[in-house]
Amino acid sequence: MRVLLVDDEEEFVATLAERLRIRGIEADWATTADEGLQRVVETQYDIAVLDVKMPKISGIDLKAKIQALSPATKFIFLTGHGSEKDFIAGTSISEFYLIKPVQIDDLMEKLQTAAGQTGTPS
Amino acid sequence: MKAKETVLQETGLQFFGQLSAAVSHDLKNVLSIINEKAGLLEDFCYMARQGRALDMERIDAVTAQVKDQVARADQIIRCFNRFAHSTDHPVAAVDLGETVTTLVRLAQRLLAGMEATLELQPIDPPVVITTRPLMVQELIWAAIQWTAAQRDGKKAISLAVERSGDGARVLIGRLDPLPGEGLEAVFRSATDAVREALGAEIHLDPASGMLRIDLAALAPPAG
Repeated sequence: MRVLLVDDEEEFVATLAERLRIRGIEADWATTADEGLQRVVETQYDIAVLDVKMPKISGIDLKAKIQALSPATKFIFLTGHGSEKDFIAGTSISEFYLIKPVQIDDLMEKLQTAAGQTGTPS
Repeated sequence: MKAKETVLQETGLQFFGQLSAAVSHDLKNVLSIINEKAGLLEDFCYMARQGRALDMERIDAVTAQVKDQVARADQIIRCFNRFAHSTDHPVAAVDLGETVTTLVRLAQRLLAGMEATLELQPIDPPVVITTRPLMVQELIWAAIQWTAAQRDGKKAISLAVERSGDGARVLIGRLDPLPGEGLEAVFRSATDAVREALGAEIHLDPASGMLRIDLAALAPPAG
């Protein structure tokens, strides 16, 4: 399973990627939308994990851009607050969100479920 | 038409809410980082129990990163506490340099969202005036946002505070190219109630391209 993490907090996203790699997942990370899109151009990702609220672009808008480049990629959203969770609720992505701080076991579970949808061996 | 007092209360609350939301987001990010670092240390312990050698230098580095995040949270909370106390008295003596520094620190996330960085010019000696502590920050923040909105892409906004007679002057800019004639009037009217309550005047200086806020010193509170 190949995963891309995008969050503007480098310390967070780099550490989360390292923890996923320890668990056998190929994880790359980016701190900006442009960086994330560049990675999608270079690499086929099964799943993208996106922060909902980044300074210059929302994770929801970034999803649309990634999808245009990589239609098969599935998405998981990270939210900081309940209000953002409400924002996601009721949309087609409501199944795949996690509230920060993230519990790694919860993220692993979501990744496995999303990977099941892509047919990617975990 | 809303009473002036109601407008002031509403805009003041909106400003306070905007800053509070940014702070809560920053603190959540700090907690998320600490959570991941703690998790990584747990992962290292688990791997060590499985027989893998512990990388002590790496553990030291992760521990130092946790401490850095605790210091970051402490700084955010100190600034937010100072900001929150600016509502204690409607009129008080305000050190404008200290106040603007606190405001800028708290608004880093909001500034990043506008692709703006703020360059606060050195203020020496300190400029202290009697004014409305929360409202003066509201006006300065509105001016920063307005200035950022006049330019596309990444922008460095300069902010200077000077003494001016009994009052003070805040210079924000520069705007390059200058906006069309009279554009600052739009900003002036948007901040009418706050401006009046502060006894402030706003001008766009064509020579420097700076938005200038002239703040009058208010009468000190009785007692």
